[in-house]
Amino acid sequence: MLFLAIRHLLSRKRQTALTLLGIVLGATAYVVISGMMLGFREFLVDQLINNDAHIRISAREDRIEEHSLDRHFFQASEQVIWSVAPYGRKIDEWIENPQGWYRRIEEDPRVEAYSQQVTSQVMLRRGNASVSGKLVGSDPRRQARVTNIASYMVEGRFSDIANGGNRIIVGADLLQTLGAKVYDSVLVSNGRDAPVPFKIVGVFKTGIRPLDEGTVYGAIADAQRINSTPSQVNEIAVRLKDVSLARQIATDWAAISRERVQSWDQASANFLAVFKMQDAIRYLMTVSILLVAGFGIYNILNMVVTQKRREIAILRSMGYTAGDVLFLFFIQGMTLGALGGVVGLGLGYGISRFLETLKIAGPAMGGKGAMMVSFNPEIYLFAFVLALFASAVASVLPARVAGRLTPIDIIRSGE
Amino acid sequence: MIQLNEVSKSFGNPPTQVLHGISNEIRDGEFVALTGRSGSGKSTLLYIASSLDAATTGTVKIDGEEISRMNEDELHEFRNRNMGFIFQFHYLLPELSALENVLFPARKYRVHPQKKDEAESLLEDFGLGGKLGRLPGQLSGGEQQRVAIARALIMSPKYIFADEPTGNLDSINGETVMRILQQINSKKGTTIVMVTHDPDFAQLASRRVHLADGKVVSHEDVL
Repeated sequence: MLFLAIRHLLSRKRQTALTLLGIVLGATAYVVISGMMLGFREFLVDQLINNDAHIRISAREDRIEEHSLDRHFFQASEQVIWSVAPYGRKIDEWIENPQGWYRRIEEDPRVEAYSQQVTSQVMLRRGNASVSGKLVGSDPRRQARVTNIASYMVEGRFSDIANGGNRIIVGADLLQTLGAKVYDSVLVSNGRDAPVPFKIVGVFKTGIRPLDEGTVYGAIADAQRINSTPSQVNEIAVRLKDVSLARQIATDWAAISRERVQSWDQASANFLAVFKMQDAIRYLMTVSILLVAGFGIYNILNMVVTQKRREIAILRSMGYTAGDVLFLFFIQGMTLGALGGVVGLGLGYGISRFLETLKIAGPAMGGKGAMMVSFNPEIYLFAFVLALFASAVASVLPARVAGRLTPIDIIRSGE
Repeated sequence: MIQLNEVSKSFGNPPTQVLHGISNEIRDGEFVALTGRSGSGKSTLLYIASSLDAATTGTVKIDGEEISRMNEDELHEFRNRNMGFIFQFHYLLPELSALENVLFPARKYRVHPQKKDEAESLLEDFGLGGKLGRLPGQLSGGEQQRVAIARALIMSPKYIFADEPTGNLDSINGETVMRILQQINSKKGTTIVMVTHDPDFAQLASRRVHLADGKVVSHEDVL
């Protein structure tokens, strides 16, 4: 029957081409739109995942309640009634037992790497220019395993801060604001103590403005010295082998510790919610296009079934079953769907490749300034399945009508 | 052998009786012409005898087996292997060449490669040797009907059912078709049941069954 189905399709080239065009456009639209949306999303998520830790453990913040301080002043057996109950916020500036954390993390087989950090707000000054920034003190070898920062270096190497000695690496925008160059010295101050001179030994550019204009990397020892807190850490950044487990692991760790433990997606929950809206729009748009394409198939097959009634009669008299006749028309729709899907995927891929070369924006669209397009195989698979599904739904009704026709009804109707 | 036992057929609501209790036997190797005026029920009888239509009451047995007791698959296979149909209109598949049309019944059970030589030889015998690759639209009416006959014969059926096979043809082509049917009947022993209006063509059959108002009014053995 496939033989006859293909002959049918070839015998009405214009109709076939037009129907095919509908499917092709549907599949292309899905591939391109999804590619663009997911490309940008993948870029953003990639930035979130790779430029930051999968899980961040930081010092805890507590509200002080009526009985929060009881145990600090009284025995457990004593009944405490405050005349003025204590209140306020208790900020632990440092992680209480970092060694315990290191042990727990090192023993966990799901962890790829971790990096202890000291982060603090600092002022950087050079001449009259002053900028506030976040100083991240870390061991650069560990930090490079936890985030991709080393790959964003545009001058110097990330490991240049390894040995301390008041050396920092700054974001490209921050360097510009300071009006400085590499190997210039800047004064770094924590706002309480006297400023300390630091030498800029490298520059990074991630393409994310807040990072590039407000982040400074230094050795952990230097950051501890600036804060006058030797051997203290206030953050531990963890990279997992499987990022999809981040939320689960963060929740598990948070349950058994005092510190604040957040996965990358928990930290960016609001941001990620936008993606759901994007998905809804994407699916709605594609379904609309494929609905139109499906109607194309439905209309044409319906017309063909009506035109081919006499041939259906003869096929049935030759011994072809109702199922054979159903298959004859169903397979035509499916052939159009499959062919249109494949051509649509090819066209979509071509357009996506072209879009990828367009320089459309600055750093907001990524470091390269070009449109980010995703080539995730799932997009292509889903587009193909959608094209097939639309074709199947559109063909099954006319095919069933054809299958139900009996030879004698057709002959009797004098057609 | 085809045995019709008290076959009646009615259509519509309220029912209109088209056939009234017809009993008859069509023996193997016979060439039977069903004649009668329009509306006499001859085409209905042909389709009931050929399993394309079902009787309202009564039974039809082909080779001793009651058609109404066969399941769908058995019936289709039986039709494919034992019956050939020729209609007033050729009903060729316009997308396929003459040869492909002839071989189409054989495709059902994927025996078309084995039947190819036979199909070519049939078309050759019917004067279409040089037109195997032509589409139906590129053939004359007589040629189209000859291709349709070749298609009906390709599975070497035991029975051929023909409904006004010359109805759309001029007299010369009509005679050609009748000559072919006679040859099939006499040389291959194929049982032929043919509906015709034309008394001259009916004369060429070995037996004529005349119907009027849904009843058999006369049998006539010609030979």
